[in-house]
Amino acid sequence: MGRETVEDPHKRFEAYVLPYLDVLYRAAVRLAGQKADAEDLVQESCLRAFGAIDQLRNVESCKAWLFKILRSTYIRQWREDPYRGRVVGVEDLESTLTDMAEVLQDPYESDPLYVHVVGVEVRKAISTLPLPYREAIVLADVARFTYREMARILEVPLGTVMSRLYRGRRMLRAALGDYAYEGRLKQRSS
Amino acid sequence: MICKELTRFIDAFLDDELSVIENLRVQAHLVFCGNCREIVKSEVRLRSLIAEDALQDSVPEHLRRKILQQIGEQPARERTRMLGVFTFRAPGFFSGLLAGAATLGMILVLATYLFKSLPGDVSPLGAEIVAKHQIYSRGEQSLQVRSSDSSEVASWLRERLDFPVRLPPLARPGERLVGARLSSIADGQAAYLLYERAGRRISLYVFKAAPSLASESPKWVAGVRFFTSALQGYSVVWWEDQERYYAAVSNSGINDLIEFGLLCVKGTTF
Repeated sequence: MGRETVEDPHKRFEAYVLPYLDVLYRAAVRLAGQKADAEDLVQESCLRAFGAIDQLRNVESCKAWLFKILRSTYIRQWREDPYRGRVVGVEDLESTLTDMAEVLQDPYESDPLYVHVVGVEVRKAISTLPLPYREAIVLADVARFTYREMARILEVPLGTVMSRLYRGRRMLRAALGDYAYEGRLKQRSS
Repeated sequence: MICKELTRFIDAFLDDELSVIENLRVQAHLVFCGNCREIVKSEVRLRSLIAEDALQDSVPEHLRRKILQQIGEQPARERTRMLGVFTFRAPGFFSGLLAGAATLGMILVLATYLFKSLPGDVSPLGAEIVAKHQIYSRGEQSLQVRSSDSSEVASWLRERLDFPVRLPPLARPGERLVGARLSSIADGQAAYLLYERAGRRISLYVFKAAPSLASESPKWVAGVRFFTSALQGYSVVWWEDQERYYAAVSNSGINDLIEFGLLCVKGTTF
């Protein structure tokens, strides 16, 4: 039995886009940092998706197609808003980061690092990452895309996806380490 | 594998992006290295924190209503066509966090099991094929497209693979296509298709790379050369057709798989 094809654009939107509204919103919150900004982002992305719904040739690729729209909308909003500053290019960052060997000295503590970290701190830490790493983590860990899907959404080679994820997660660990340290201090003083 | 190597693999390992063979290597290292096990635990916790936090958020009802209202106000004929760049064709279906975690767990358990019990005359390729069959055929959550319409599945694969895949006609009674996903065999791209017949599941891989298939003497049936192997109660049959390699695996027996292979090659059985 084949999958039913929906022709009416409103019905197509309801059938193929609405099921992904929650995951779009979750990703938007972590990309934009603020819920109000995330709402604007999701709203505009949905309108653009509706405008282009007849270009969605394969409904199986709908989720990735939507995320490509979300990302493009976010970058456009970011560039238009002078208060948000420019999008940091990955080339600005790569040279300042540690190489693979340094990770070996990354302190994976026997006392689980994240016991003292709560959700809101995770979100805050993600939102402070430079965009290339933030979007990689959001696509992988929030939207659960495969590396190959991410490479297509981000329009970069597979190796770049892997290196951004790798570096982004190391940066996230470092940021969360600060929260964990503060959490431990609070716990000891209470 | 040494600890330094593990750091290169750790993300792909936890993101379920390694081949079964690579998984075996990582898993074997973890069995003996407590330090790396701690690293993996810590990384798992990091991912869980991100995912658990994300699951707390749902789109606010007022935003959902607003979007629906705005969409409803837009007549279909006046919709803009400004988004010509969004002709995305990549695979879109991905199972949720729980399904992903479950798959990863199954891979780990299975990889360890096969690693310990691999007989000397079975190639790593055979082990990889059987292991993936066990993982992907357990439920439909591992499939990226679920459809019994072979033309729909073929079209889905065509858009994602670097090579065309010809699907077998379903000529045997009670047989149906369950779905497909992208996979890899011997580190090369592969199509994975799941079939069902009389309650038994048959996995079919189609790939372009040419690993060493011949672990035994070939068996000629109706002019087609088949290679056969068996592992853990599963039969594996390989053949080549029009510069593509096919591998079918099931617990239904070699002869059943050869019949299935003939369907693929000739469109008919014995």
